[in-house]
Amino acid sequence: MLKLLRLEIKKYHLWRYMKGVIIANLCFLSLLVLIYVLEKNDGNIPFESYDMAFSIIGSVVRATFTVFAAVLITRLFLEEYKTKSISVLFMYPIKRQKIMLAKVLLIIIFTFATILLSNILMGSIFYLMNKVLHFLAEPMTSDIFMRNALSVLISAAASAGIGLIPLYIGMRRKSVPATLVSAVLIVGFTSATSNDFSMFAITAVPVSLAAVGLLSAYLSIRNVETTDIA
Amino acid sequence: MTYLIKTHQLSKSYDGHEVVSNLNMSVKKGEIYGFLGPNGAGKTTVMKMMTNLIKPTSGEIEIFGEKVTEHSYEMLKRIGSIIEFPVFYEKLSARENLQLHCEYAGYYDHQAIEEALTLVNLQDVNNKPVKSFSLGMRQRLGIARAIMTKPELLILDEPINGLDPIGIKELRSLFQMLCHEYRITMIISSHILSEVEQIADTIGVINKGQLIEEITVKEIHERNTEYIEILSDDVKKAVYVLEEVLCIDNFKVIDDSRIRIYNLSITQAEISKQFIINGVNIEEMKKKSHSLEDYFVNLLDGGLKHA
Repeated sequence: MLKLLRLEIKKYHLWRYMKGVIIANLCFLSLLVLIYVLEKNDGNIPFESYDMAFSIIGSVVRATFTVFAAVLITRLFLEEYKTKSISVLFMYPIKRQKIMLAKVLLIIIFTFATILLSNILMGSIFYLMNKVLHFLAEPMTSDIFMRNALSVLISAAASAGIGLIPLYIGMRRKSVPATLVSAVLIVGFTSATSNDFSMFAITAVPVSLAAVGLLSAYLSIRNVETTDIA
Repeated sequence: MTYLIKTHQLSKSYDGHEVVSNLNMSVKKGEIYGFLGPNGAGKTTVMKMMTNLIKPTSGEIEIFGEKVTEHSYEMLKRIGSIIEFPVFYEKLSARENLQLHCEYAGYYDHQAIEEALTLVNLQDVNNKPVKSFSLGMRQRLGIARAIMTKPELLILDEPINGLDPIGIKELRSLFQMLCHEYRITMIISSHILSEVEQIADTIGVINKGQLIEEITVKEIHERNTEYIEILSDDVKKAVYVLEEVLCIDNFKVIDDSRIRIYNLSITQAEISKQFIINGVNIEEMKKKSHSLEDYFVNLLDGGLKHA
């Protein structure tokens, strides 16, 4: 299985996506700076608490990498069907479900890792910035740290599952737009906030959506052994 | 005689429309099997069923003496193939594609990559991505990939498509070498008859999803008679000379300028002499063996003409 993962990465030069990840993180950083500068100019307090700041960072990161996952799905799954290289892949002496599972795992790992790392990176930068600029009145406590660390972990794990929902839609229709649009809709639904309240805050929502994502992945690769490759 | 591939009443239908019906074909071990048929006859569908890419609606396939099922992964190790057209990972170079193939196929002789590239004359492609390859180069690379892991069976769908005449000739000798020296059994599909005729040991003709003939090339040559063909601007007069002067009745008027004489007991010299004496102009006179093409055009009822 490790070998299959390695081959998928090699095949699509997936390390090059790291460039995208870095660019995304630079964007997050500029966004934070922008919020800080604009709010400050208006005479508002830019960030009221660590909780609020981490929640903003968390939802932007989550939204970005859920869409990123959809982009990966189009490459790893749809492109393989579109260029018909899937017929080469399925003529290897390897169980097809295993090949597909490797692809699914790769997407899960990628989404989980990028969300986790970006949150840690942005969170640390924010913390250090605050150390210098002192815009938050409250001190960093181990309570705040633990609470937010846990929520980042849940967010990363749930998003890794949620990111798979577009897979089923995309595979059914073998359509790139359908995959990407469904990812954007999911992000819109889960990240919609009003008064600091987002759907993601109710733990049951992300957890059940993640379950839907895993089910979607299962349904997408379940029949791969018997389906004709046109 | 051992058979490497045998199909029994193999059928495939899409939405109730039968594309392959009750096909019984047998490919002997060590031979080159030419799979001939016009476009859309069902060749690719049959080959896809052999490589397990699509599943038969009914009937079964036996390869290496084993029934092909959805779990037949191990047998794929022993098969090299190009189905429809050679597909690669476009952004990777030829070598990278072959390396990937080696790893997926579980074949670790990296010397094999260079050997395969040399065999198909692609050793100088360097690191250009496959994206920039011509159809002919892709076709060669596809063959390199198919033969690289030294399979026992090669399934090649229209492998000479897009190749220039020199390339075709090279491939022909490559196929023969693979068959004779490496003892690889091959099934090669084509809609170009002359190609199949030159390399195949057995020819299977498929039309509209049905195998209408399976015959060895040797048998065809034995079955088909030789004749002398005469091209003349005055066929009527020529016929008169043949019947009345030379007393031949075993001939056939093909069209308004060609006659074929099947009675070979009279020499060409004698015929031409009599024609000249009787004032019949001969534009051309050739001894021919009945071409395979005629045989198959008859078989397909003109179907190949449109292919």
